[in-house]
Amino acid sequence: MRDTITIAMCGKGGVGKTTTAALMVKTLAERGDKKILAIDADPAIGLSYALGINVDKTVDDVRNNLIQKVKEKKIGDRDDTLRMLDYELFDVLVEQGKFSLLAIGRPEGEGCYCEVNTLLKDIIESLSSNFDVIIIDGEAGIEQINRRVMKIVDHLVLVSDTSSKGLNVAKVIKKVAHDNQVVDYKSTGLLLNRIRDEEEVNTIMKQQDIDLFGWIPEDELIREYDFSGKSYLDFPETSPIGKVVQDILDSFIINGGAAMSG
Amino acid sequence: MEIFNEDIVDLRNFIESKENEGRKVRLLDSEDGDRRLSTFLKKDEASIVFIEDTWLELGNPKKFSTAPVLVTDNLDLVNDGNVTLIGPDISETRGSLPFAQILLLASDSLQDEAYTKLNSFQYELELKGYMIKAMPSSLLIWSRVSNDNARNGFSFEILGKTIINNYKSKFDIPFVEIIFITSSKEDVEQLKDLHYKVKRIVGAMTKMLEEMHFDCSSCEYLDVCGDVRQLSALRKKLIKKKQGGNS
Repeated sequence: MRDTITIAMCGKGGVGKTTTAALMVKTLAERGDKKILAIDADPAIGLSYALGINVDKTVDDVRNNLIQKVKEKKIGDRDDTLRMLDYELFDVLVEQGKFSLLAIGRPEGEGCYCEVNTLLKDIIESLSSNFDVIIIDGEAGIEQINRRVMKIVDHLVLVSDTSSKGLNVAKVIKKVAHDNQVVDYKSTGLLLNRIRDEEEVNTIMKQQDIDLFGWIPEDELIREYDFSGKSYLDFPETSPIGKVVQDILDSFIINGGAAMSG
Repeated sequence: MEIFNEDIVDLRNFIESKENEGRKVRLLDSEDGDRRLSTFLKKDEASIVFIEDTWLELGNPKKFSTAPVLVTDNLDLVNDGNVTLIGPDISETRGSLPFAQILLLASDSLQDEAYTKLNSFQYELELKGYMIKAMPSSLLIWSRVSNDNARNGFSFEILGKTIINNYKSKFDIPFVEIIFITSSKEDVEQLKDLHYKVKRIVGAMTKMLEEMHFDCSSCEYLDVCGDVRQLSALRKKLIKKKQGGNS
């Protein structure tokens, strides 16, 4: 069994979670020495788009298909159901050679389908154990953490811009994850985005009770990639943000998640 | 069980017709086949064969695949130990192929109720470098052979003999035969009638065994139970068993 490292991006909507996740996938894929699974847990499937992948089936489709079968009493025994889910989930997995992508789609709906969701979680966990690194692009806000979707995460990256709203969401996520023990994590820290200069970082960090994983300067190229819908797999390695992402990944993979000094 | 006797005869005719059409039809039985089986017994390793490590993919969901299990109590209908291949073997091609895996089982002591277990048991394979995904109730099979396996001589003979041995040891079935088809999409698709018939029977049996409601008027499998005499017999047997259990 592999010793899989799971890294999850969380935070308010529009703060750069998807961009960071996409650049992490790109960086690791280019290194080529690890099996990488990108999990697009954002219902808007933004990570898939940022990686230039057209998703035609999501985990939610598999879940709905199974729920439909349960309603119509068209399923066999538990073994048969497990095999069916395993087959369908592997069909959802998009294999790109250097990495694979799993799009979750809509979050779990209401209703008495705990058994279905548990089976799916078990199979995703089993699938995940075939990879060295898992990068999760989380849903915006706190809900996904609350629902314990990301139960086991090694490194919880709280992405925020400089807005007080963004920083507050990061703070709340950390509090819920930590105080309510809804996520088993080794490290958690802030990744500050759209920063003017180091002084701004210092000012922000003075008011925070969270470690700093790194900071990303404002970058016109990101704006251009977002605007034109270009795949981040083509993003130039030499960009400042590329270097930040590489350093963070090294700290997670080589050093086990040591935070930067603020 | 006689449900599939006609289908087995039809299958023999199908194989003969393919041979007459010039397909490569082979009985795989090399001298060292049995000896090489142990080489691929699974050790601790990842269960997934990624596409980049794949030599040959069989039955991708985007292509039609089928894996029916045909059971009979007529021992003369099954050639025990035979592994037949229509189309290229693993070392002779690479990429992605349509796939049919047909198992023929003969025993005069098998209970009808065992059928759904016999159908899904074919996927319980522990082979190194051979990934198998399946939907037993839909008879869909999707597998991948790793590059390493192909290099090390993994073949349909090894796959077939492993499956045959598994059935013999688990269910004590005296006659087990397997047929693989990789020749073309058209050849595999010619088995669609058989595929849908078996799928309906598996569905009807699963429903009978799982639900035990026996309200036929609203059952979606009413047609197949009407067509297949043995299913009605199985239903009657299960009702009797249930009533006996309740008394």
